[in-house]
Amino acid sequence: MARFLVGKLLVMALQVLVVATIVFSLVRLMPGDPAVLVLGTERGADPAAVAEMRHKLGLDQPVLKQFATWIGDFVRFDWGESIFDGTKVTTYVAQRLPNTIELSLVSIALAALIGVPLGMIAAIRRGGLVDMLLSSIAALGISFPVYVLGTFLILLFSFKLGWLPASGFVSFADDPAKHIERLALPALTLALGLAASIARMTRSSVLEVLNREFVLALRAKGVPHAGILIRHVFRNAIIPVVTIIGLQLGNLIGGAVLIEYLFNWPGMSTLLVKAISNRDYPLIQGCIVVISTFFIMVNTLVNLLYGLLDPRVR
Amino acid sequence: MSGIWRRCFRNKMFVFSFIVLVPVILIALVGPLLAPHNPTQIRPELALRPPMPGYWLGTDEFGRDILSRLIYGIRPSMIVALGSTALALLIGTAMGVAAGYFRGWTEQIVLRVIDIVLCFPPILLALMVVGFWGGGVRNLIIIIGIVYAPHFGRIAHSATLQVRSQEFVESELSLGATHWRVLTRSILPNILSPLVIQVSLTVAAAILLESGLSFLGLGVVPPEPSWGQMIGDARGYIHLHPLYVLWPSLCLGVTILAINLMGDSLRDILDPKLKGR
Amino acid sequence: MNDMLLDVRNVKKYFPLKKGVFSRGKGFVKAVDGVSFSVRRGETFGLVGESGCGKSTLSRLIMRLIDADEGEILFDGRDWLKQKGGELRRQRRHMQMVFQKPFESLNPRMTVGEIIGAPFEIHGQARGAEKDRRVRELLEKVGLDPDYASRYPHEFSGGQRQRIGIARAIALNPKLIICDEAVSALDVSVQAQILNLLKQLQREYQLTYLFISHNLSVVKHMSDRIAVMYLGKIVEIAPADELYANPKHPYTKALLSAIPQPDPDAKKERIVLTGDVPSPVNPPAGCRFCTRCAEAMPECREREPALTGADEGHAVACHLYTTT
Repeated sequence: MARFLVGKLLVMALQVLVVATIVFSLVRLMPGDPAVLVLGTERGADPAAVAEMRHKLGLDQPVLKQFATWIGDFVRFDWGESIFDGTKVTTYVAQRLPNTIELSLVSIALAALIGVPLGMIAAIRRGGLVDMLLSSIAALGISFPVYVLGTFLILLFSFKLGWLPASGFVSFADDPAKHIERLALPALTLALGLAASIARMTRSSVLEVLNREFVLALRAKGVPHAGILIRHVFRNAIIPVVTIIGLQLGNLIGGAVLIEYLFNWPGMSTLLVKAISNRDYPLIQGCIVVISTFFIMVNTLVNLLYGLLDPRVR
Repeated sequence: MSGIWRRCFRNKMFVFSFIVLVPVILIALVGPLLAPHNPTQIRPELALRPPMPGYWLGTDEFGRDILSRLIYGIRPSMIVALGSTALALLIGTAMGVAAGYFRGWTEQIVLRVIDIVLCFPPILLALMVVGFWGGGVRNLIIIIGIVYAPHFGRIAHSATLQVRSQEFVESELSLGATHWRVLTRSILPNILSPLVIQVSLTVAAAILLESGLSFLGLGVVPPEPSWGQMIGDARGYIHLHPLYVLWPSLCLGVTILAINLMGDSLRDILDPKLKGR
Repeated sequence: MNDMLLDVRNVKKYFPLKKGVFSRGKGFVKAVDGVSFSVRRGETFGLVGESGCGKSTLSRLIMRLIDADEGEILFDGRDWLKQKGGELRRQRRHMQMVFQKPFESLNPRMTVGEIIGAPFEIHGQARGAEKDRRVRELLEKVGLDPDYASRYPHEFSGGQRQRIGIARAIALNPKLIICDEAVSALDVSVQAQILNLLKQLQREYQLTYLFISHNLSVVKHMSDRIAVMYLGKIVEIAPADELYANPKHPYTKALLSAIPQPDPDAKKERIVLTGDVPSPVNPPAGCRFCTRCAEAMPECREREPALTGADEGHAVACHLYTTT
């Protein structure tokens, strides 16, 4: 078990390293001189300024030395400053990352809370109303982009019903209620997409377990129906759910990028989009590495969880 | 070959998606000739009007005709989706087949590269490249193609492994065929089915990715319209002109739904044939 | 002209056992461990043994679909194992194989005509109309309607597919044809037809066969000489009739006793083998058969018996017979 754990963690560290290296290289591969790009077209015309910026960015050093310096800085969390306003990249990240994490985790939790029971009901009452609704909605759900769903929810809950605000952010510390109000729609939007997949997966795995012999044997023994369901079926069915979350992670993060933008939720993605519009390269680098690392970490966590639940994988 | 077409048209899902997609493709090709207005012409005095004669779906915040923009908007999305899928298919299949056929170091390297690309969520990879190289149709085709190549690579790899172990491949080799002949006549024709299914999935995913990027304002370069971009622009005017956001949303959703259904129907049509062997 | 078409000398193939991607081998599966025999021009040489004895590996080694670790093979006088690249590909036309699985040995995406025509295409022997003509000729030779050339394999039965495979194998008039369990996947009634076809073609084209099977009666029906294989080694070689009349190796005797006899009155003692089959990873130091042999002697566990008696026409690898 320990070997499995250590193995996965090593792979994770390696992946993060590779990601960081790729991001580092891409900046160097860009057309044009990075120093000129950083300075912008006006100041970039001045050779003295360019030379100074090259020195500042360390571009006059041999590439390997640059890389070593960069890795050293990276590990020490010195990711440079934003070109736009000089704030340290780490400062921005520290502000925004918790919001993104909160949104992601709440969405996943909501999705599981909605999806698992729905899937179980659909399986138990196979062919019933819930089951049929589930399959049709699921097909629609994956076809409409997540921001379209978000927009529809805004139309419904914000404008027609006026229950929830369309965007904005209030920190939890300042006003918990308003915070949750503003978290609700974005989280719900992300959650619904994931919930559909979770529900379908839960449904098919519950159906499969229900048919397995040992459950039939238990029922023959006379163990009460609810007891069987909750203990045995649930435990066996939870594994595929974890799998699905792992598989859909890419979609979730992709969705989070768009949803944060749509709802003006101050997370890593809105930071990244702004950085891209401003061509703020140090900030872009920092954001990409952080988001990718987050992605890799959650992936690894899902793999570990999977290993925990299913001894065969180990 | 004609047998396959017959089976396709007997499948209801396929027919439905076909009916939806053919007009879309046709409009993409000839639509600009039919559009009532110039999609980039700004007429501030007509901003955000509801549907009216001449402007059948209303106008956007710059007074541009929504209907015309919708029609012109198909093209960039379609070019990006088809172009990137073709690129992903070519690169991914070549890599996957090479890995599965030659094994050894080739296989190891290809699989590691695939793993690395799959480390990034697609939209992140796309944003990164857009951030450094800019958007626009050409860059989008390249980056989205690279993003989805690994999926083709994995499928081609496992399909090649499976086909390669069959006796008819051994027989081709024992006849004295060159590797090239074996690859083109024995391997490739027999791995087509899963690849075709993946093509439909990828086209849908590519449209979603491109529209997402355009929604963020980082995809197709304005003023060239794209459905995702229109939705992004419309979001600020939901309270003033809710229909503005509705039209591109519907078009996008229905198109992607049709592509997904086509993919599902293809899977139904092609898979049982595989199992039947 | 050399009477010996195929001369296999001490061929070995070991498969390393690997656990995981990076760890070193934990031993080898000795699939073929020093096999020697020769096949004369024009004869049918049978090779018989149970599953796992290495006969399939051996056939692939001879066909150069996998490479041997040790040993030599002389084919029609040439050093066969040294051929490579384009020269090997050209030489392949002289050695062909009929495969075991009718549902796997034909490319499902090619028509029968394309499959049988492939040898002509690959070796540039015929094109277009000439190729089609020869394909139709071959189809007739194997007892199929020449119009079948435009159909696909899945439209045919197992027996028909084997005929197609045979047509492909004889297309370029090879010197040697290896039949690797060519009839094992067929129904018994169909087996007889295919075997008769093979014999007929042998007469017509003066073919040499290496006939591999686990089925003793089939091998006896087809072969002039037979070699018995056990766990990667040849234990006995003799002319077919001699082998059945006078089996020497205990394993051969056990195999023969298991053949069902049509005459219910014929008395026969069934020799049942006891003891475990040693794993091909760790074969015993001495004779491989000693763990199951009823007549095992102490030296059987220590020394491996060599194959002796070839000069007298009946070779056997057993200590019971090497007392001279």
